Amino acid sequence: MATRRHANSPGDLLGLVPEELLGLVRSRELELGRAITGGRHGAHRSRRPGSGHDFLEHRAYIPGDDLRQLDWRAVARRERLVVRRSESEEAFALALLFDDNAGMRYPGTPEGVSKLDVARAFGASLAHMAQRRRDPLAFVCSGDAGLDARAAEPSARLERKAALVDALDTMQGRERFDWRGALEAFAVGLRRPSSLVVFSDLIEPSFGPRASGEEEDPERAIEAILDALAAFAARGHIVTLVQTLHADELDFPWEGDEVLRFIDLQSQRPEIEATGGSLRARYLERFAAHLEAVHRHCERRGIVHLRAIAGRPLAPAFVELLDRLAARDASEGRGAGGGARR
Amino acid sequence: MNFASPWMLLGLLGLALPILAHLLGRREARRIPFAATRFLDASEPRVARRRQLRDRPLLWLRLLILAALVTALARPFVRAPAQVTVYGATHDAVIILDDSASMRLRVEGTRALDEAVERAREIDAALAPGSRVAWITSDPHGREDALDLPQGARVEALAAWLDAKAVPHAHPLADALDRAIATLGPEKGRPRVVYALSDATAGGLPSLPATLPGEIALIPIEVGASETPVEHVGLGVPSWTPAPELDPRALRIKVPVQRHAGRDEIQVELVLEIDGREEARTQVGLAPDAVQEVEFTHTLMGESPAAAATLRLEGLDDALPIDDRRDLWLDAESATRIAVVNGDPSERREFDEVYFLVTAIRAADPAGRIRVRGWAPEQLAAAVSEAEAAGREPLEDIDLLVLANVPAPDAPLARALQARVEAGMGLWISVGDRVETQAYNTALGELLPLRLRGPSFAGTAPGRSEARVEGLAPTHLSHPAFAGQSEDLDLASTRTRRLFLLEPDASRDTDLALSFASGAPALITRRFGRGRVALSTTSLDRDWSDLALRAGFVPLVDQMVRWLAGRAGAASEELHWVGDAVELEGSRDWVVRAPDGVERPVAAAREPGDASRFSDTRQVGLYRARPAGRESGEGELEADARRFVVAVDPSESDTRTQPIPHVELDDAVPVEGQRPQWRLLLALAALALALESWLRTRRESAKA
Repeated sequence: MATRRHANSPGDLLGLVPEELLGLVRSRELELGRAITGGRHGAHRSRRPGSGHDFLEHRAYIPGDDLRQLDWRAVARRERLVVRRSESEEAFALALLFDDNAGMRYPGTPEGVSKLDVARAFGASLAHMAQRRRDPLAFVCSGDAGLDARAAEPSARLERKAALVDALDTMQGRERFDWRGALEAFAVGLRRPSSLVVFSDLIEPSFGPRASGEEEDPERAIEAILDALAAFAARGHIVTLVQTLHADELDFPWEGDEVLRFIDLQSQRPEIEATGGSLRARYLERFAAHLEAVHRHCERRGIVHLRAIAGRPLAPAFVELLDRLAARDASEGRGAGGGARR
Repeated sequence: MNFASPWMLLGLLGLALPILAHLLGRREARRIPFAATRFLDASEPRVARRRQLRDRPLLWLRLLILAALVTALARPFVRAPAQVTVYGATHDAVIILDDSASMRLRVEGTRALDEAVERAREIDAALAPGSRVAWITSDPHGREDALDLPQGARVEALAAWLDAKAVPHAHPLADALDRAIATLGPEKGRPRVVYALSDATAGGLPSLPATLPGEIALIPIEVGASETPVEHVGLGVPSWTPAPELDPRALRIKVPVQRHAGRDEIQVELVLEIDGREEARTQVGLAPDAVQEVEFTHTLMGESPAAAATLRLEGLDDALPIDDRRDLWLDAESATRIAVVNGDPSERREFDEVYFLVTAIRAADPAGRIRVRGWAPEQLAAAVSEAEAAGREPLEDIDLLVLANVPAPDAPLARALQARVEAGMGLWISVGDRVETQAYNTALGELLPLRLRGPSFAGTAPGRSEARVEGLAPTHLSHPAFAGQSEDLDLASTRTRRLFLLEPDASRDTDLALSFASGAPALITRRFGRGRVALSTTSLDRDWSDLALRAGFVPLVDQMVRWLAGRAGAASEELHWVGDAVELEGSRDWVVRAPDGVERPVAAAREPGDASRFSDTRQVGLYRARPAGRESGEGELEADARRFVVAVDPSESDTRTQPIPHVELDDAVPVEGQRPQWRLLLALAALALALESWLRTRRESAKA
């Protein structure tokens, strides 16, 4: 599975999309399940009933309504004034957050697909589909000197696409990812509701600052990150967490008596020498509990959570991502209706 | 530190194996960069056990054990100061190795004999090339080989022979010189050297002459040397005497316990066993260099005529154990044989010189264990000269000879008497009209308790003519003959008209049994060699005194006869030193049962009149000999059966050192000794092993 840039398409997002996903990217449209209130008209349904093509509902005429919105044929059928409401189609920003901490480099071999490769492929695919609809793009990832948050404000300009291609191309996994900085940058940059897609393994994130010498509790950092993402959701953003993992992390394929030395990619923890067999059962148990906890936290906070697994077929995961993004949330629909009545 | 087998040290490389294995084991680990290390449990115990040098003390201990064993295999030694000097040029050598009893003395934990073997190895290795050497032991029946080139195997064979066959004999080292010189053979242009490996006791190196004839060089090499005299305790030769005053079958068993060297007084435990059963036990306090005579009384029980008695010291880590045990045969049945020489026989019993004496002896011996024979003086002379002519020991079947008013014996007879007394016979001389002072002093002056001054009439002091008799003072109950006698013999009313006065002589060790009221001796005794001599200064018949009529006369005669005849233990004449041949009556075959119960046949002598010889007396202990063809049994009381004791000569117990003759040798080369150190290493390894086991057990129990 080729995930790196295609040689024949320099500067193009499609060049970063693996062949496995190319068909999907070309054939599917990016849809958002929830109506959002965008800044301007675009190809997405808006919570604000407007002049879109798609019929939303009929309702009784209230004095003060725009007379242009009267559905004459319905008035004739029902013999009372009804107003036709249609979905408004608005421009929608796609915000991508790449947690490119060193752990995402795994397995770090030229022939293997790393978690970072998966994040890059999904990110490039989504960005390409958004860009096809002229949607603005925003992204945050690590740069050469710390966090690169210059593109945290959505923009539909071509330069933004080129910047993203460039960033994805050079993204290689830094020691630690500055979650706090990234979320603060988006908090400022995403003034209108947007679709925020977060790529992270969420294994041992850092949500500093912390007192010097104090060991950061990864569980608490994860909760803090998810709380912050929940705040984005509360502000109307669609927050999707694509937990990018590797098949080895899920399966722990080392079972024998061979002595292995595990080295922490983030250089945070001491090396561990042990036989795989002696570690496996306990590891699987603890890792499964961790995944379960992340999933539970996301559900509780209204964050869409799904997993993309490096080392396994990517298309099903990408299809699931598209479906989850397009899924219409019933409660949100009712809320929109309520809002319209005002 | 040097090593006899240095290539063995290559084994030390093996020490690297455990460490190497550990290091290699560490390198095996495959590196896996991993993101989710925080879910890995680092405290998994099996991993820790395998990956860490968790038991460093155990590792070091095991390495120490390995190192000590390997080093011990390399046989380390240190060069000791020269203990041995050898002749530098090529020569012929005879090495005499003293294997006498005193060489069993342990000095600082090593027997002198073992040290001698060690020195022998050094000499063997150090002799100049081309030298020939022969080994002989100081035991005349011991190992002896011919001149040959030096060869370690011969030394080892000698050591093996010493372990298995050497007997603790008492032959002086000097006795082996003749054999050594004979082995060397006549002068053939090569230097001839005799090396003598021995201790500095009287029978060892000090017994050697300073020079040997025929330009043979003598090199004494002392072994078992010690800066301070080595302390040990030993038993002398035990003896027994009948104790009829206690019981007809009672005996007194005496044994001297001697301590050699030492400091402060010590207590040793002496045990008496009769027929293998412990009968008595006593504590003996011993000052340094002291001798204590210990006496047991024992009454023989049962039907058996003889009993095997063993005396041994217990609870003693003695440096010379061979003399810590002594054996003897006890015999309550043996008859006492008395010959009474009557110098003044008479047809009328009351005037016969010996009538009262013999009557008293018979009266005191209802069991008839005393056999009395009467001789005229001529018969005594004839018996002695006949025995000498036949080559037999004269009077050997007599335990006590009584010379009652006998004229002085001639010189040959006197010599025979003196020799016999020295060998253990008792002699009782009573005076009378036929005793001439001068002749007696000439013939038996050496033997008499005191020399005679001359006969005298009682009460002839100036101014006293009315009292013409002398009474006896109370009996001297302290005299050994009266042991067990607690009451006076009641002889005070004895009236003596005539007596012999004696010449005082402070140099003679005499015991007074009876004395006259005036203080003049009436019956005086003396030990002479192993025998005892008594002298009555008045007659035993009624001529000079009425002593024979007194009630106390019978017990006096009984006690005196038993004491005089009570040879220094009946065992003494059947005592042989270990390694010596025992002569048996030569006209028939014998079977001898050794202390270990094995019976060995002894063939009759080839020539009539010769004795059979039983020479396998390597074991110390009690032997029985019986004519072949007789069944052995406990109830054997045959006149012709023999019992004898084989013992270690007590002279070998005397480990005091004497000066060694100094030998000047022009062409002598001192040889460096090798003091092996591997025992120390083995001890270290054993200690470390014990520590390792303890540590391991503790770890395992802690883990459990």
